[in-house]
Amino acid sequence: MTSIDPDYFESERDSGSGFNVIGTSVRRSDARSHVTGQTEFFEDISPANLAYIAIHRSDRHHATINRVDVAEALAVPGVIRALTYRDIPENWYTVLRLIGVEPNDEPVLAEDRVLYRGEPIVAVVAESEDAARDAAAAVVVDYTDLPAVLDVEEALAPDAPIIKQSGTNHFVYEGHHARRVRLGDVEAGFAAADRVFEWDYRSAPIEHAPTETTGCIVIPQGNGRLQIRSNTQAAFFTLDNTALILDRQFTDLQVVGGTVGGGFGGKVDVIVEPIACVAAALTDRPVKYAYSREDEMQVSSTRAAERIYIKDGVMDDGRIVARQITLYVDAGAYSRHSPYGTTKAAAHMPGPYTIPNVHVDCHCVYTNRTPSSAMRGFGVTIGDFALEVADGPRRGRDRHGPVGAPAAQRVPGRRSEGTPEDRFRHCPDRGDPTGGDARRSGAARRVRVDVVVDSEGGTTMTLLRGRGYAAVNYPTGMNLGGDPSQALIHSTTTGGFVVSLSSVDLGQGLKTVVAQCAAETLGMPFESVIIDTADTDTGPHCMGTFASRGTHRVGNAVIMAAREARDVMLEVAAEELEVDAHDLETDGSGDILVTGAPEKRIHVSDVAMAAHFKQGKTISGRGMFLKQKSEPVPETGEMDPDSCQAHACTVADVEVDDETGVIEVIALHNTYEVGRALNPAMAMQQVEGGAWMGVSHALFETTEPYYPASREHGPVDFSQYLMPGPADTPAQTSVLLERPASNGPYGAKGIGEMTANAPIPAIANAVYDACGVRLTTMPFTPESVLRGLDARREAGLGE
Amino acid sequence: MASQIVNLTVNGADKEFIARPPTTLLMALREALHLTAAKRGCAQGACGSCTVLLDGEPVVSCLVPVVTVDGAAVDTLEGRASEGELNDLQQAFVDGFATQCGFCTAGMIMSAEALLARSPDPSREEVLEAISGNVCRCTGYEPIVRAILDASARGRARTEEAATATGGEI
Repeated sequence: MTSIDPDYFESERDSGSGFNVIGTSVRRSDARSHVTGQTEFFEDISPANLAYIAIHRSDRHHATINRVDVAEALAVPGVIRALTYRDIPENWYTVLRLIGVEPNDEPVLAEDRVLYRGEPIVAVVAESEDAARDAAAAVVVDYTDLPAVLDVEEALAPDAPIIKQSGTNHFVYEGHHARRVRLGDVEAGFAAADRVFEWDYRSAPIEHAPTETTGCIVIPQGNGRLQIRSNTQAAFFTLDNTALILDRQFTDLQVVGGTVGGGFGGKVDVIVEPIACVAAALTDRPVKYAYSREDEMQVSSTRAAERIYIKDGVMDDGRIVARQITLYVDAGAYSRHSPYGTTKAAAHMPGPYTIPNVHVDCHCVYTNRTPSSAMRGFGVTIGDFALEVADGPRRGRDRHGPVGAPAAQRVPGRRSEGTPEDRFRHCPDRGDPTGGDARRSGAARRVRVDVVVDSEGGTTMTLLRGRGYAAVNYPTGMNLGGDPSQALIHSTTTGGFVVSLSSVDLGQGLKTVVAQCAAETLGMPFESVIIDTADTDTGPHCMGTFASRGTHRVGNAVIMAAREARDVMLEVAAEELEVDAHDLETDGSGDILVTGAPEKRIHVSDVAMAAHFKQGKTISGRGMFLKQKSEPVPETGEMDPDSCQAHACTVADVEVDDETGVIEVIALHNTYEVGRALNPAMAMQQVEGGAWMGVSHALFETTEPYYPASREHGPVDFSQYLMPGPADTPAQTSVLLERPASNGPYGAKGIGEMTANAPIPAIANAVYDACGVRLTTMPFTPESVLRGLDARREAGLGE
Repeated sequence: MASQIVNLTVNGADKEFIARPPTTLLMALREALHLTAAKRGCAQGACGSCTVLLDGEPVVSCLVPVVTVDGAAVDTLEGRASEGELNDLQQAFVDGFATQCGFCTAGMIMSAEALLARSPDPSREEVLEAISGNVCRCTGYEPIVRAILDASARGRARTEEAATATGGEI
């Protein structure tokens, strides 16, 4: 089966409450090993004779390499060898070539030019980490500096230095500079509007900051094969790209992973594995290449900094009748995942609204900065911030009293950005035209007003208090390429069922939730399902764990495989019980019983033994998810993403100190429409953990250098890269709404990424509600609040 | 610098190994003793993933030169469960969905254990302070805080149960 009929899962979707395992908060299958320390991360293995890699990196933004001298490096005791680009068989690559997004624009190791500070030039292999580090520092590179461009709009100026070999500083898509969305007549919309608002929004680059840094250990197998023990988010993505770089057969490589200490999109770039493989092949020794924390902070890819210009035409009754957006994604020096992120941004920019006239241009722009790539919600997170903040103060009524007025005079919970009811005007119903995607509807938004609980407590009332509101939507899975995932399942002779996957559990609970899908479909106990992942030798293909795709794509594949296996299981049981297979059912206990005669039953272990030793049958099944490929029409952006959209609303309560500008988020109220919560406790983990990340993005996170002029000294560790600690985390109330998706496993949608998005604009709107300051640049620093308060005073609004 | 013989009591067992002076307690645990529950998240003392107990006190083991703690008692996550039975903290973390990727879990539990050892009935603020040196990027901390408070309640309930069974004499 190569595509999914939307009705294929209808029976699961409509089973309602008759589930055995689905919808129950079974304990995570990996929790016990986590709390006993038995979970094996890649760095927990210790192969004999291990060698270590350290990298000499560019200290220039943009320069020609005249000469590389490794003599001193090779003289460091313990050094085995140094690798340059000449050692990399196919040095130029780009990760998204696997889904047809080219050109290959990034070297594994720099050749005659470096395009960003931190670009790898020489990889040193040594007997110890210390020796490798010392030797990498001893490499001498002679440069000639070239003009650098460090700003997206400057990069597009006519006289900008061109940094790309393609001859442009922007990604070219179908002959265009931009990914586009066109709907209706935007100029006519502006002409008809009662008012027109224009805003611009900016964000800083953000680091994934996983607690486990990116890394791998490569172990030669003695038969010409290389085993890659990696914390990649995407085993086959890594295998395929690495094989192409090595110019070797795919069968020469094996990726073993599946245990990741936080990914958030940062471990999809295939950055460490190719160099480690080359080193392992050339030395015939196991080799480890792991980022230090400083590497992770300084040179690993970031969430792209974005700049968004929004022009909205609005009617006096609140309807948005025209929206024009220009968005710049700072891809940094190389493409990585940014072209896809830009496409996603373009598709998302109309927002979760029905707007009749839309005109969007999203530019993917190259600069001499650290390459950006995928990060939780990428292409959408910053857009949601801009869209939802624009949707608030745009309504134009500045109802704030003087700055410093006692907050007790304020009405708690007032929404200056308009009531939720105002926004319902824009909620599309099925079939309403929306920019780019005709499948959105605003279920969560419609219900939000009924489920949000007003929070009156928890404030000293000595600060300015405000409440803000934001609503977002998010597509499940990748909307380019077929986004495939496969699953195999077979029964053991003991009556267990092994599900073989290559899919990676990032900690969101994929292994647990797909085991629930398998158990439910088989009609067997959850405990009887064993998940075997992620080994590319034994698990079938999977795109990877990113783009909120894991539960949806892999879950669908597992259900399909389990159905096949169940058919054989019932066939064997029917033979044993001497009845027709159609007369059999399961009740989740492990027994197969005759409908209407429950005393006539057989345990699955007896069925498995009979299949194996008596009937000669294999209780097994194959499943795959593959969606129809849809490319956006270049001129209009129109496409059929064949994906479901999850929806969310967040209300934020904040307190703003008007003397220090410090924002404290007191509470978040989240409502998530998730299709179906396969495991409500784990869905809630995603919602609340993601909301924390949203708060962190909003208030703290940036990798911008401390000294912008010299671009020196960005954050290098967790003491400099600010994130909220346990005591800085707001109280949260969360509600999950279920509206099963037509193509979801038991109706589930993907929610992993969107959970970080809604809090950001909600907090910005709450600050506006509290003190009248519009925050348009992330993160929302105390300085930006104070500047806003000063501006209000100067404008006579605060004296 | 000459290597030295180091003796530690790790999870109640005597261990002897040879270490070079720069070797940290974390790397000695992981590489010499193959106890890998404590994680290397930053090697800068800033993330707490390597937290272990040194003579009962929580330390970031990546900043402790192992030769300076010769003769000390070290407790790691590996020694918490007894005969396959999870302790209160471990069980509370499982039941309370307080783990996601699992990388910070060892450090979190060891920080919490030190807290409950000195304050069996901690306030929420004490819990927040106890784990303030432990970075978690997945959970938003709240499930972890709840799990630690839950473990404290479980421990107190057991103590009260024991007191009842022995007529008040513990």
